[in-house]
Amino acid sequence: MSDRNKLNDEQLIIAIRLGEKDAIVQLYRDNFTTIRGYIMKNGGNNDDAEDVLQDACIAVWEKVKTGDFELKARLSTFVFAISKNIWLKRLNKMGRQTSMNDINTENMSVKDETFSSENRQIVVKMMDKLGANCKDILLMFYFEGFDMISIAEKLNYNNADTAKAKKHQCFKHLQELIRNRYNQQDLIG
Amino acid sequence: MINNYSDIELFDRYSGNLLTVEERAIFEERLANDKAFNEEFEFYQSITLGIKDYGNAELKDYLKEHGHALTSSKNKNKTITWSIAAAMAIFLGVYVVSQFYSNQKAEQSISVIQPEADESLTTDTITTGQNNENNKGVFADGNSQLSEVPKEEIIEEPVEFKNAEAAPSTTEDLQRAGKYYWSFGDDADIPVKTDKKLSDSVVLIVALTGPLDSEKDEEIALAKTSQGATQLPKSLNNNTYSNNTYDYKTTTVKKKSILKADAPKADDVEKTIENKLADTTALANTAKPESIATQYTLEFWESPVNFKGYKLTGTTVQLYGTANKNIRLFNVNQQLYLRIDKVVYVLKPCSTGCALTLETDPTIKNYILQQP
Repeated sequence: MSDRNKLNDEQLIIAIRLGEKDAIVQLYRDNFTTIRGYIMKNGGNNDDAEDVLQDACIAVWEKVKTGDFELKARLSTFVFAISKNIWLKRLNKMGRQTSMNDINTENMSVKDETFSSENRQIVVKMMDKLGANCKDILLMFYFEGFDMISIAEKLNYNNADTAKAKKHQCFKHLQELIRNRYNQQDLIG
Repeated sequence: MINNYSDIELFDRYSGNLLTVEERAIFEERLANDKAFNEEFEFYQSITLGIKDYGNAELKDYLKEHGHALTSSKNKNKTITWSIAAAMAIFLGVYVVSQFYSNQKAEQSISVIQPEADESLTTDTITTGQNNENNKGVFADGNSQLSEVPKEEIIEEPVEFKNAEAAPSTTEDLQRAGKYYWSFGDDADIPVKTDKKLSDSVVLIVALTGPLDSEKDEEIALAKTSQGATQLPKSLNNNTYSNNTYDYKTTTVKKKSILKADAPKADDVEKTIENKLADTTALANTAKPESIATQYTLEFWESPVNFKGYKLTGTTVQLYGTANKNIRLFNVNQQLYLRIDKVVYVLKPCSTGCALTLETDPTIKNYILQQP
């Protein structure tokens, strides 16, 4: 995306809501230098900066996708705050807590990990077993948050009911794949 | 209403806050009291979170791929910039080196025409760069300029040089070499190769029109052979013909030579010729009686493009691509003919170079061929 086609914050949010991946790429690009400088000044390296910023952009993506996201400051400020929060948590995990407790991470929590990452990794593996159509429709509904009307339009289904039936079918198929491979109790336990 | 939904749809609606307050209350009550329903909902939640993780992983991969390309694009641009700069530097270096050697070659080329006559001039004294003042090649002594030579200055014999270093010093010598002379003007550094003159001679033109006037021409007499063909007089024959070859250096005819095509009595062909010639004589003599000269300079030339033909300007015939010297010129009714061995050509004024044209009239052709 050239500078000439760069989106402002409002346009970026709209683009993210519409599922435009280039918008998240612009967000990443716009903030990389700042985040890398911050991470490298605080015990990280370039790879850390890339990984942290990627997670921060995804967090913004998810936050915007919920639909109740309200931009009260510049988007870059939001990205920077999330990146700081992510990096602090990683430092805590690695026992390298630094004197950055003054960072305001209010309302910028990362992901609520109710379920173990192992269980989610099982689902991720089983997603690859699905066909492309099922994968797309499940991702559009559960990850990108599109309604059935939008999904029907994007995936060329006749109508929302058709898309809804297809989604239901795919979800059931995924459940069966997981049940056939793993014990449901293990997954939810 | 809530019972109309499948479990999955109900979970979707609950997770998406799409249930009414009453529906939500019923749903949460069921979660609390129905263990299987609760487990099914937890399983649903695990799957949806897994799907989100899958989506996040895909998005992260997309960012790694495209975000990395974008962030490294600056470095890539730097690499491209440095590559271009390096390529330009290499090109510049090659250009400078090639120019250096090409200049050396130019000086070497000019050294070929260094004169041998003037020993004071050496290869080192000839340069190109300092000779642009008059757009001519100038030797170091400033006296000798290499320029085009008028054709009149061409002398007889070609000069052969023992080696490339022994080159002519003057323009005459250059032209004598018959090969190259140099100009540093608009066609700088381009050798100009000219026509090479091989030899020349003054050749008798034999006129076959009009009556034989033996009284006016004592040197040239017409001798009739037993076959009725005309011959050149002995005196001329001795001087100019030797084994059917001209001695081009000694042949000179000062008087007008008129040879009559005296037809043999027993030869009908000759009668025909005589009649034809008689018919055309009057017209030829009245129209342009002096248009054909009595003396021509025959020159043998070699063209750099291997042109074969002739040039006829004034009283000079330049033959190109012809080495055969068993050649004679004839004037038949004010038309100039060239005979090379047994072939007769028509010569017409031509200053730019014309191809030799065969005479097609068998009467004239046969008659000329009968001449010695």
